[in-house]
Amino acid sequence: MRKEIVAIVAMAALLAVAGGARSDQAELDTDLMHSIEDSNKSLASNIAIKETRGASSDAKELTEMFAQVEAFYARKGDAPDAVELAKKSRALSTQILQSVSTSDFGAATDSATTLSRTCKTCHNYYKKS
Amino acid sequence: MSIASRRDFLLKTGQGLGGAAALTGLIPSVGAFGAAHAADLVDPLAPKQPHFPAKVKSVIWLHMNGAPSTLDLYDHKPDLVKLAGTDVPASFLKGIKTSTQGGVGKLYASNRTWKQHGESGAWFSDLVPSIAQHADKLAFIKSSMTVGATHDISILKLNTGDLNPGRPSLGAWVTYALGSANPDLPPYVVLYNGKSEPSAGSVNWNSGFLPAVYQGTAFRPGASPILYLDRPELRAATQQRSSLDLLKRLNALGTAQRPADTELLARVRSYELADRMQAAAPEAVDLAKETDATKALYGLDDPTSASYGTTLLRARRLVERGVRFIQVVSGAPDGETEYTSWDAHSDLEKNHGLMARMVDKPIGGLLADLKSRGLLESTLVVWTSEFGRTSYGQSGNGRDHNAWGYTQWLAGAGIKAGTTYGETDEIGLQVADKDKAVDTYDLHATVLQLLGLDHLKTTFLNNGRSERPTVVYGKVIKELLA
Repeated sequence: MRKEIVAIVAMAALLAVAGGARSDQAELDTDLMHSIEDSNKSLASNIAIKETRGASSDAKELTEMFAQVEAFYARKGDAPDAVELAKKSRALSTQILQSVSTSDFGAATDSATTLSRTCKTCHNYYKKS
Repeated sequence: MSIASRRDFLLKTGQGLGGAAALTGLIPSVGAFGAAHAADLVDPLAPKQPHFPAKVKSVIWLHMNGAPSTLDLYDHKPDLVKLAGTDVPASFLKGIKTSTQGGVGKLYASNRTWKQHGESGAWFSDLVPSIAQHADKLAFIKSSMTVGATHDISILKLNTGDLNPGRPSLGAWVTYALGSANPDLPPYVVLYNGKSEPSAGSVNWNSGFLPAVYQGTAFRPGASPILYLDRPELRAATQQRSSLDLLKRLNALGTAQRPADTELLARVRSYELADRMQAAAPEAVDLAKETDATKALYGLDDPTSASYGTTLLRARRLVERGVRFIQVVSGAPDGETEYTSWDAHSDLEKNHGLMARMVDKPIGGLLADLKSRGLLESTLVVWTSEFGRTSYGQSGNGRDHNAWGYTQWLAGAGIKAGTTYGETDEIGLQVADKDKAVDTYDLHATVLQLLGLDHLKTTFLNNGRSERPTVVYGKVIKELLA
């Protein structure tokens, strides 16, 4: 009897953790979004002062983070706009990396501003305020 | 530069470029503290060249405080009138989150008559007959949008580009980038009508992380625009001059020890500027020499429009005296206590009837006066607000805040007059084509462009980070430019 009770409690605990993890994945990680915002601001600054290493590092980080955002919405299955916007953001980040590598900071600036606007567009629909 | 004595040092540090060279030579350990930076510190308001030739010398930023319903002024929506009294069709609510107290009301149409005016055929309601006379001077932005559901944070975003305090206002950026065109007046002035300063606060004309000298100076209504500016009667002008000269020498000691303390530098400059402003500021706002006809043009003969009209006439005088950025915040007519802003959550008819009467004649007068004096060719007038108001009603006879689609307009130098950029949907709730949405950053970028400034190149290094007026956003709306 005691073993059965322990088994039931363990099962309940496992289910609670699993349920909690599922509910975590129901929402996009806000830490991830804050990191994207911080990296985006750092990127804008590094492009403006033509700091190639910093801008490249920021652009690489953003590419990886937008891949996570894209994967999240793809798994969710009910937000095709968000998937497309995340894809676009990833593409822009890659574009910025290429521009910075050739010291074309003008093009990098344009892409970075477009990237920021893309973030805004997604927020208009999907950001919980 | 050799320094024979402390007296010699003090004399030389007070002498402009000579002082700048002295500072450079005396503080080698500060590294990048070069002559150019030192010159800025010595005279941070010295005129600076824009990035390219400017179309505009002065901006008059007309902030309609409280957020008018442009659906009842400029954005004529026959479908809204047809559907008035019915629920908002679900398709119009797609993509937005409403938070109206009491819930989303039925679609609401007020008692407006609408007419087209000028060769542009722009629509104006019966609330703005004077402004309507200038239809062909205006370039409408009918796809304005922003974020924020409350006035204070959206006003902050309108003026500084952020929902949180700490960033410079647009006027501060302009002052930083272009300096002053008149050493006897602040280059950035804030005007308002009503009993007290705008409730959203001085954070809306603050310099943020820019040096403090670039903040706006609020001119109070009345004959004495700046508190404590007037010299007391018991004090002679020569006494004041002697005191200021001593203060200057003492302050030079402080600035020599703390050359990067911009607040100290701003305070030092402010004493000299205040001395010059004792004459210049009251003269700039003194309407005694304006003709009766001019005063009537601005609605000074109507108690409802007199206070706002006075403000705009002062704005014109400040433009004539080279003030770069004049931020005018609408208040309320003298004595009015019930409707003190455009914020018509209820009683829209009465509220907007009063507010429109307060501003319509003065703004029409300002446009006419600037035109007749040849000033409209170098001045930009901007009608702006923190957001608009909803197509659906609130409290039965009002409208709630609407950040998703509203109207602003520009007039004056460099503008493609008589045009409209963008539109809202059939009921005036959201911007119809999101690709044409004009956010506050885009408005800022466009205003800066007209001043000859590339918003991407107007930068300031703050704690190692390059900052610009448009944060990380902003695009110039080229379709608005002539």
